[in-house]
Amino acid sequence: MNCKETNKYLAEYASGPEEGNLRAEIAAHLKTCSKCSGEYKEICLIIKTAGSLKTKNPGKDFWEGYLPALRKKMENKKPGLIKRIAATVSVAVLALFSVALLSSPLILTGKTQKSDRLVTEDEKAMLEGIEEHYDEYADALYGD
Amino acid sequence: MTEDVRLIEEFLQGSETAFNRLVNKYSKKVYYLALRLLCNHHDAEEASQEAFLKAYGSLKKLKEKKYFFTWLYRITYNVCMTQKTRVKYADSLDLAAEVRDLRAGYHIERIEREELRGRVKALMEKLPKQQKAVFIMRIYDGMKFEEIAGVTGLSTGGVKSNFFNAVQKIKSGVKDQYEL
Repeated sequence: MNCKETNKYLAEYASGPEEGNLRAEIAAHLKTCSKCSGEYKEICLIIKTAGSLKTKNPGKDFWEGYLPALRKKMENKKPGLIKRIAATVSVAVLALFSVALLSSPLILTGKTQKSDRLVTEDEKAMLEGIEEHYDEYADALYGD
Repeated sequence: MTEDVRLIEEFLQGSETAFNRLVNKYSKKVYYLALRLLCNHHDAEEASQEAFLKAYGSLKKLKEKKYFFTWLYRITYNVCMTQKTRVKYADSLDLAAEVRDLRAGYHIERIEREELRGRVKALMEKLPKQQKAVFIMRIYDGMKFEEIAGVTGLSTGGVKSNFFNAVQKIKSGVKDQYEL
């Protein structure tokens, strides 16, 4: 293994044991190369220093109150009694409205507003005109 | 059957106590991951509880129950990745307390070491989120690269690359100051 390849794996090598056969090759290279060995020591110092940084413990009170606080949040997420009643009423009203709409005479008879629409005065006049001059139109179109 | 699988089965049959036991078992791990990622206590508390709330709501969808912890860690990771931090570079690591402890036995070498720790801490907090997450899971949780890939959704190669870059950035930052 050369220096370039070794450098590529130094960080993961320094961070702890991992399965793979590269470890032996890296270890062998580090024994013979002072440059890579120096690089390895620097990385080890960084990892060791980072690993030694302690995390703040929030304290006994925090941990004792953690589960109750979580449970409280869970309860708040559940809909309350009033919300549940309101939701039930809304669904019932919607269902009643749907039933009323579906059972209206308009829908049951299949009649639409358009089919019941009265003929306008203009349309009436036009139809009368056609009737009046029907024979003339027919003659013009089909002849004898 | 592992303890986690048994507790999950009990929870799915209606036992809230079983879920409480899962919370008690993993709350510290989840909280400390969030704390290291978000760098302040309040955000970490919020994020860790949000993770448990999400887990509570979707535990029945978890197919491989033996991987509960990895799944929970992934939820925590995702919550932290999407959460905006309220305080930047805050106080996740108790450096001040450690320096106070040193005053009793003043020693120049140890003070320098504390400076180095402070520098590493600052550089760690400035890492891009994904690199920071990978670095934290590797260094503090001792997770394998494959396990980190399972949590983050990255490939194993992607995890190794993020780890390599994180180490290089911290090393370069320290080198600039200390001429390592």
